[in-house]
Amino acid sequence: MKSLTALFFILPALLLIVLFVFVPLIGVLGLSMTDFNIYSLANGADLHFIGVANFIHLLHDRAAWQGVETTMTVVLVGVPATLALSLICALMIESISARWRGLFRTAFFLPVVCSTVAVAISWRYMLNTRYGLVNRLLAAAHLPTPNWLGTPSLALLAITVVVVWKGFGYGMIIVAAARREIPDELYDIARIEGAGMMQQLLRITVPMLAPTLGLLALLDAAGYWQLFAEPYVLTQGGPMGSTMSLLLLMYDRGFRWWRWGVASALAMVLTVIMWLFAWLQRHTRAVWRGD
Amino acid sequence: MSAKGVLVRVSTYAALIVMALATLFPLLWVTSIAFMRAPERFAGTPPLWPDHPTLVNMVNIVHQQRIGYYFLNSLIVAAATTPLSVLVAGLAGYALAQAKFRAHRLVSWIVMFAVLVPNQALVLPLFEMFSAVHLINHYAALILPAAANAVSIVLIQAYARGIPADVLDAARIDGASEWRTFFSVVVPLMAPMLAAVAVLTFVVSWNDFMWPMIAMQKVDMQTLPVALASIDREHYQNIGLMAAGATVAILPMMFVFLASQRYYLRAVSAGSLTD
Amino acid sequence: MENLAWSSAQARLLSAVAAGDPPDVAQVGDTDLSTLVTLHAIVPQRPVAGDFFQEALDVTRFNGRYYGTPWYVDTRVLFYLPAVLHRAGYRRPARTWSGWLKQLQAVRRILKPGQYPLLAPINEYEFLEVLALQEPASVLRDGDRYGNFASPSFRAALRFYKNLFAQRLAPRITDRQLINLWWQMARGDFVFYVSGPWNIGEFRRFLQPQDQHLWMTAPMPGPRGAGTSLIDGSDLVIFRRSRRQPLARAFVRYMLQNRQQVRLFALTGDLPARRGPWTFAPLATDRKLNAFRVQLGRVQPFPKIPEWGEIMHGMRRMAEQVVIGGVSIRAATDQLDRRVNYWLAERRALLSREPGKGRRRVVGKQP
Repeated sequence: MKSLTALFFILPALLLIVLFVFVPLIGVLGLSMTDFNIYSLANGADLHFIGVANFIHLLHDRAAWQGVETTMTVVLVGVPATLALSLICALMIESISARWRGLFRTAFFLPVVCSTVAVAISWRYMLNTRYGLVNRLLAAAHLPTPNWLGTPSLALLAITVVVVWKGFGYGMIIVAAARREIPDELYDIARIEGAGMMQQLLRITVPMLAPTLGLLALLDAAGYWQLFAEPYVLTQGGPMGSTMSLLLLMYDRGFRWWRWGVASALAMVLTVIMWLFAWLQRHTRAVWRGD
Repeated sequence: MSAKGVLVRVSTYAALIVMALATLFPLLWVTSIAFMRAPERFAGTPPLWPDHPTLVNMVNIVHQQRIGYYFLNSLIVAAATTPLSVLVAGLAGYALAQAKFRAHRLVSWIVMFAVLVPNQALVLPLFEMFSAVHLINHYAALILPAAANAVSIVLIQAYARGIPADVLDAARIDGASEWRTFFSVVVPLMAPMLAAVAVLTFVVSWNDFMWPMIAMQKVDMQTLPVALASIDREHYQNIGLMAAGATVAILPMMFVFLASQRYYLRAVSAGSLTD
Repeated sequence: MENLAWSSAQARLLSAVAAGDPPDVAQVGDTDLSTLVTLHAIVPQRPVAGDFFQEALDVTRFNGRYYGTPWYVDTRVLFYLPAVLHRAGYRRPARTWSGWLKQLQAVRRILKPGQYPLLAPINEYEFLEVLALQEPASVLRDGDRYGNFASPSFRAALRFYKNLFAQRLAPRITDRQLINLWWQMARGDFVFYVSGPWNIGEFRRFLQPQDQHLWMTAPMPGPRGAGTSLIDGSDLVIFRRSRRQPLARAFVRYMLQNRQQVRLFALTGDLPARRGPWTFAPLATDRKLNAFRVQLGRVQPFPKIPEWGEIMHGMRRMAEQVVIGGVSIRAATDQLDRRVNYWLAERRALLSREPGKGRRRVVGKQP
């Protein structure tokens, strides 16, 4: 293939990416250094370059710190939980008769394809303090029936549960595919050497799946950092801002109160945190593998 | 089989069944509530199954809330985004995999970088850009940004590496142009992956929420999830209505998924091979 | 004609303006009017009638001109269950905060577990706003240039509010945690709820005719005597970009006719902004409207500045921290003032930078 033809093939994608990823990214960076707000919308003369003032403001803004903390909690709790569920389900499914695999795979995967808004609505009824099914089951087991979406720590936990519930099926498929790539001989040798099931799991399965799990962690984290629809529908960021994710905060500041400067600064913060995280994950993975 | 083996097998099935039920439960329950008459009247938790199934909530969500319009909007956007995105990503992914050219490193770097940008963080300037060209409230505002999907490019590129060079050479020796080679030889060879990416794109487009909420200011142009969230803000205390709305959003995706499961799952598992 | 969900309507309308694609005429909330005036998005109109509620008309006045036509008015009153109050030993809701507090305590004694005397969702700010507006100077100061939430009168209002939760007279829930307010109230889950006129229609829609006697309305109590309430509502505005200005004005006049205003009430329960329609049935005869009629004579408008919505949401979050976060009233109000001062910085800068031109640009400027 000639260079020119290849470039011609790539051109549409390149144009679209530059136009809808790179240009807006530069736009966010630019906006984050202005005081763009409702008054500048009325009169362009009221738009000023203010350097890093928005970022300094965010440093002193408790809501912003809370947003970082909230989102990071969902990532740090949600990603391992998702990975664990994905791994367990994948291994269980791969161990059963092929006839039934499809059925369970479908069941675990269905939440992934469902609209987040719709599933958040159903979870709100599940979690209702007085009428929800979750508390009904807890009451039947004589356990306390908490105010799930009205208690700061529990509301974030509930959101994390919904996020994990919706996400683990995706990882399950990937892990299952990777598990099929592990040669059976490895297990045969292990059995001959007298390794039990637990040992096979820890010595063969998990190490062989480590790269896949690492990649999954990266993908899941990238998704969870962008948490938005679940708190938007379930809690609107409350109670006490405990479920106000960074993107929800950005949306509120930007499209509700029209403080585009600060909102863009929040978007930059999110982007940079995600890059740091991705870099950190790649780095630690390299260490694991001994590269 | 040893007694221990049987025990492990039985408990595996038991665990899977319990987990599958727990996973499906929120979806099944909301579907069930959608067919109950005034579920809010129950003094306690609504039952699992409607005693006297009714279509009244479905009729209301379709008639009063015009859910059909929003459904159609979502369908139009997803149906337009999918082929466009697949074509763009297919061309680029194939060229990146099979051609050597000077800017290759730069282009690869640009694509990888785009994968790492959280696209929802870009909505503020995107809104400005689309306002400037008066495309807010047009389907194009949702279709165009979604057409540039870096993840799709990476998936297709990984798959296209597996196309044997002699197949392509044979086509070229026969005098076919690159363009014809792509459509008559490459596309059929990549069909499974293209189909998989298509299903992925469709689902992502159907479920997208934040940007459609911002870009579609006119109620008539809203997509299903946006309209659902908006109806929810006003009618969240009308459980039957909201459950019906959620059901309308969930069921079609279930059918799309069940029908295209083979391709879809392949696309998702391909994610593990692109490392 | 477009229907927008009320809570997202503001963001949508603003975005439509920012995108340069507004409608001809829109019904906007009083809170958003100042924003649209700031944006030069709407044109002044001449009042189409002489019998508007004065406060409702004042809300639309900026720098001497009327930028909207009041369509319906909205104030907050007590919705309550007379039978339960009666069983607790009272004939009607009290007129003062202290009397009302005693009633709530008495009601709590006769309720079942899980039921509460008062519903005050912690994600709604209007109830606290009503409490705060008893003394309007207690919220902003110096021509709405600075927050004044640390003032003694606001702190007193906040203390009263906090007490309602601390004494378990109201549950610490958001409105999203309701299953169905009207059914739940009819069952006795809550005995009092502070809300607006649309709930008259909702109670009638959700409850059976034989259950309509279960609920009643009453004016708000105050710190020392009969209380004032907020005045809100919505106005019909005409957008500057509209190419059909005469038609838009004719439409506004049509919507303000007695017939249309009475129909509006019949359809939605929204209260006409003109006094004229109130002399027709069913407005003139509806007993449950009496509280609104009385309350509309005792209302306090909020400051007409575009930042008001943001400030009220800030106040709500602050109140959440006090009610469920255990933050002290002193610390919470001090912190809120700092945040409000940051939000108002641009406004202060504009007011001081261009004293002459600012008159046109900065809305809500005090003479």
